[in-house]
Amino acid sequence: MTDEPAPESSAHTRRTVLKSTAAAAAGTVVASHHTSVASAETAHTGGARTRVTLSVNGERHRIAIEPRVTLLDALRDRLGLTGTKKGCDRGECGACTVLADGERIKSCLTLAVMRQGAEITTVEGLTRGDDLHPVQEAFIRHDAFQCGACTPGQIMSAVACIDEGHAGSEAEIREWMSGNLCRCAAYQNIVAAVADAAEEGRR
Amino acid sequence: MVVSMDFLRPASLAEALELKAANPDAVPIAGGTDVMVELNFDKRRPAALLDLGRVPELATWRAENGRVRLGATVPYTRIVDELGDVLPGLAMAARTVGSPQIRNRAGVGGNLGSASPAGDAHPPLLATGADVEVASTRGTRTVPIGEFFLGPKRSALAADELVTAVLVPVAAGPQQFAKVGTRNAMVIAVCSFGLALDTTRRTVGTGIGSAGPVPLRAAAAEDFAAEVLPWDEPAANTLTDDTAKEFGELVAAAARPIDDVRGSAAYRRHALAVLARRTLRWAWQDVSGR
Amino acid sequence: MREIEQSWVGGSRPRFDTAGRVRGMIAHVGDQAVGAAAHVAVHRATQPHARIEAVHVDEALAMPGVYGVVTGADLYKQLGDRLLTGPAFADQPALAHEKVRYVGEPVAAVLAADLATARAATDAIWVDYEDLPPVYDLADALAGTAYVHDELRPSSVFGDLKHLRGVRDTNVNYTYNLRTGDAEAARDAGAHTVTGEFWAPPTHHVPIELPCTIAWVDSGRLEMLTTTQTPSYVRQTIADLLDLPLSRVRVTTRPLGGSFGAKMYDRLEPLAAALAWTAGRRVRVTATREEAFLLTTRHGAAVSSSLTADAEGNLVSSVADVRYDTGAYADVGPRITAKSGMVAPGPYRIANARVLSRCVYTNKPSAGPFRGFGVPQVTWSHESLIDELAHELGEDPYAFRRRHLLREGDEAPMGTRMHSADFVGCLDAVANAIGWFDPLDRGTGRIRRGRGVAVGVKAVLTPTIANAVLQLNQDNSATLLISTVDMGQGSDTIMAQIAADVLRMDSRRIHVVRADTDATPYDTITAGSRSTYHTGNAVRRVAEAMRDKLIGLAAERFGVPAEEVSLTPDGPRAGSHEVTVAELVHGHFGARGATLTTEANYTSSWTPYDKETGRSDKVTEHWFAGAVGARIAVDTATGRVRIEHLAVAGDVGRAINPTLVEQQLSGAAIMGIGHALFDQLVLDQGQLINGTLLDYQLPSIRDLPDQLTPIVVESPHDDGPFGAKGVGETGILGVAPAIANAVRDAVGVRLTRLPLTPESITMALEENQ
Repeated sequence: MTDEPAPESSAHTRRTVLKSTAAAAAGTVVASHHTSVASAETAHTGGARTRVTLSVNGERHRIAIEPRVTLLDALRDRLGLTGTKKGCDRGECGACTVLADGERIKSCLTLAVMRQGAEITTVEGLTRGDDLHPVQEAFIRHDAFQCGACTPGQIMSAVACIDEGHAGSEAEIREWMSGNLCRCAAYQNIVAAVADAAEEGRR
Repeated sequence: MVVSMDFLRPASLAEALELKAANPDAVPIAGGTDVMVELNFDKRRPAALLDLGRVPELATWRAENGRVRLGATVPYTRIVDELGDVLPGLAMAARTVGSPQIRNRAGVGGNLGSASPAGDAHPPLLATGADVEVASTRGTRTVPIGEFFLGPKRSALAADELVTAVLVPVAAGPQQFAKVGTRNAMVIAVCSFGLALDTTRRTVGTGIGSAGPVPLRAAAAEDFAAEVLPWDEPAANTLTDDTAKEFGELVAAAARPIDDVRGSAAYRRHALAVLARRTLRWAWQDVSGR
Repeated sequence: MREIEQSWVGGSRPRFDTAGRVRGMIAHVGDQAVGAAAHVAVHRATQPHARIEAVHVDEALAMPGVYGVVTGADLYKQLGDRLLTGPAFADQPALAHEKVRYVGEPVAAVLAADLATARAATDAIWVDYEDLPPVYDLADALAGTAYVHDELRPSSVFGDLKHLRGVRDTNVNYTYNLRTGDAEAARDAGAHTVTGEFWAPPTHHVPIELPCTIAWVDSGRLEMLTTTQTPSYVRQTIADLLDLPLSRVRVTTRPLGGSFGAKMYDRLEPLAAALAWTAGRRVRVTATREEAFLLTTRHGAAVSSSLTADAEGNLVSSVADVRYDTGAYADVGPRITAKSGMVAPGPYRIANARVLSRCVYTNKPSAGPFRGFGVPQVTWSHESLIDELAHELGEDPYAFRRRHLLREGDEAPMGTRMHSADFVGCLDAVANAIGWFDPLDRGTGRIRRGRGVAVGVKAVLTPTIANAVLQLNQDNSATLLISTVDMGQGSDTIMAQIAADVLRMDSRRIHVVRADTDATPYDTITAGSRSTYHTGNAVRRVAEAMRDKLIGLAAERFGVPAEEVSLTPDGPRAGSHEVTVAELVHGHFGARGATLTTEANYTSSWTPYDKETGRSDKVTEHWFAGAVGARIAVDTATGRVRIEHLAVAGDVGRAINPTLVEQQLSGAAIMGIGHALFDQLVLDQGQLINGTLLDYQLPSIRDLPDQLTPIVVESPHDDGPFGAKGVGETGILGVAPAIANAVRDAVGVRLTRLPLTPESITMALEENQ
């Protein structure tokens, strides 16, 4: 991010407040103008790209994308993290579920530019080296999948569901996992896997 | 050729209002769960998006003067977790919005901004007589909730205004919310109903969702219940079947439903009567239980 | 079981690549980085039936980033009638040519630098239409108020459809008749008759993974990577489309993120191939969720039927008039019409049966193969009828069915004998599971409870062809080449188990390659639950051939006759002679990493049914038998149904992997619950209006029954691999009628139209008062 001249029309002071690490803020308020200048470019030239910094699975990535690009598309197409799946692009299936600062969100319903400063965790970020996350292992133990298309979203949702403390009973798990569809209908095994992983976490 | 899109990110309410005034066509986005759907499907290609996610004034709530001032971008998850005691009806409705993931991001500002007759937050807001606070560079004003909705997806918001908060009276009695759909999760209501009893003033508030061009109150039902409910003897068995039944019918009569892909008008009226009866009984049990 | 045996037939070993599944590393077609490619978006018809006067593309062409715009007329100039494809009728163009026949039909394709540009450009295209009168439903279509196609175009591939070529002035593209005995006379003479007008609406598969096809030209060949269950079929279609020898077409695929029949035959492939070939570029075509709803659907079907018993309660007549609404293009509708029409009487001993089954064109999105292949729609009819008849006769619906169910060796109404179809075993199992024989308090208040059962029968697609090639590696691991596609059902796992069992090796050392028509041999289709039996048999044979080869080599090495050698998990042995496979093969070739190869075929045959009577003594290679039992509670105030216990049983002959079989039974049952209670495509004047996942309601995790019991029944098939048959569809067949029968038991109303929404139940209750 280089120093960019402030936009001409002073009525449009478009500043962002970056919550992320010192590196980005690095004492330069100017650094936060990258979005705004690009937007100024947008207004004048019709060119669309803006520089966005995403922190994903502990790594920072700088990409140039149009503001309209969803977090989901940025993850899949620009960062090559295809573990997060696109089932509907409307927030109706849950296959795109990721964690933003530990909270589960549907990545198709938010723009990449809006997620700067958040720590994004995708399914690729759950493993530590070769070690699977306990939720992943529980899914394997219970054969909690068939085709696997909804599985990353289910797992991310399950990780958060357990963290939220919403996995105390089967009924609770069903309610709090209800934002993730599975057409193969491996639901029974998914419930069992989440219950198992939650139980394990309590021990 | 609108393939590109401005992205505006104010850091304060004042800045947000300035930007909205300068860009009246900018579409406000906070949780994004409503706007993004239209964006992703190219149903809307706005020249600009106004991201309210960083505006601190919108993301808080506080209790003042017997009301909760609930910021427009406070997510439903927080409403459920933090406001279940003082705004029980709204918290119940919040629990049914979308899915857990969506509830982490969506807030009442989105429901109000889009002014859909199916917005889950609307019936409890109507039932409690909330006010909508809207602001612009010209100043701040409050719109009673009953005057906020002008038609399907049309509200009293001027082009340069933003919804900043709702001012919701703290519960003065039991509240209820119920919704009917064909499946058990991620449901757009076939119809929904919010109820609020005020045991001090002995009044009843109602709100009907997805059964009219706008969310509606059932005034005749409210008057009837206020008059007929045995406020002096609040035991479970003092609410007669006849009272409940008539209440239900009056609520159904207040609705102006249409036939659509989710259900017929006739069924909506029928289901509303059932919801109204049922929620009245539950709420009355809470009165007598105390 | 020893660990190695857990990996053989009958062992519930974990499915292939569980780590990949939980890590999001199952690479679907849409996950492939595509590099420089033209992204394709499609401009779709806004009219249900119209002549195309002109397609205006100049504005789209002028947009920066647009490489080209192609219309149906453009493609027709290059390909002529070859542009029209289909598995039964060659009636569907990749882009509409001269006419559009449904709202949403592809009219023009934009090729552009990126998808957003392509989609924006499709909005800049407009079309001049001359409207034609549309037919939206079966009634109009049969009355012939307008004709969707000027003349019928059966594919030249099928001899049995030849007689339909050139037929005009009809919307009926196929008719199947069954005539056994004299059903009308027996009905008229019978003592008790129940009738019904049944409706099962169009629905959608909704696999979570969206379709995606990437096509390119390489060394003068057309290659593609596509989401398909039928790579061999697609290769043939593309070869015909582009007039190329099969050796110049290559179709590859990846494990599918669900399909259920949505990704079969001709979907995005003809368009992608035509564009790649004519434009000479790599192209990528995908569908949004909304578009995916339009690509193919499940047939809506109306059944007018009757079931008659004599004074003693014997079933004497079944009559059914079945109409399948196949939409604007026939797809595999004609096959469904026959295959399902013939089981419309149900799995019962009935002396006289008459079925008229027709496949009808309408101006709506095309209907095609869907889990169940048309059978759930007729099961909805026969299981409702027999239940109602039992009530009328004052008999227990379970006992009444049991009396009349076909047993081993019985001849079914269409003339074929039953083998390995344990209807009675399945029915008994589900009845027991839901407590049929215990007293049930049905309640007197707002909540009423009830229970119901249903039995389903389906024939497997016959004749079909399966081939397998096995490469045994010198280190005693193996590569299995089959064109079966894993879409979650577990074929990658069970095919390895079959081969491993024969070769006494660990099935985790057998890799089933992804289908690639350059390498994996022809397999008819991965559908219709046929793969376990047919391809499984080819796999068994190819493994046996390999076993024989190994035994031969060992015999040579040991210096003994082959009959004395047996293959064990430790290698071939004969008396005191023993050697590991690794040593044996190394010794034979003198090199590490060498391979032995065998190949095998399994082709089934049938006796085509008679044109007049619809009967055949061998209409199918094997049967599927299943049953469902449901115990429910109905909230009479809202009409909501809560399923307390659903039991689903399927006769699989032999469970190659019991866990995977149970998953298939449960998964299909839950899909069936959706069909029973809320799934339906809603079309208004030919336009799909609930093409989103919020308005098209799939079962969520909260729509599970309180208790769901899958039951594996094993009545071994003489010719199946280890006695096994498939199971992918069995679980869905009887779910809707079992639930409706339970509703009937609970509240005394018989609903004949699906889905059983709260609204329809409430209305029925009101009418009943």
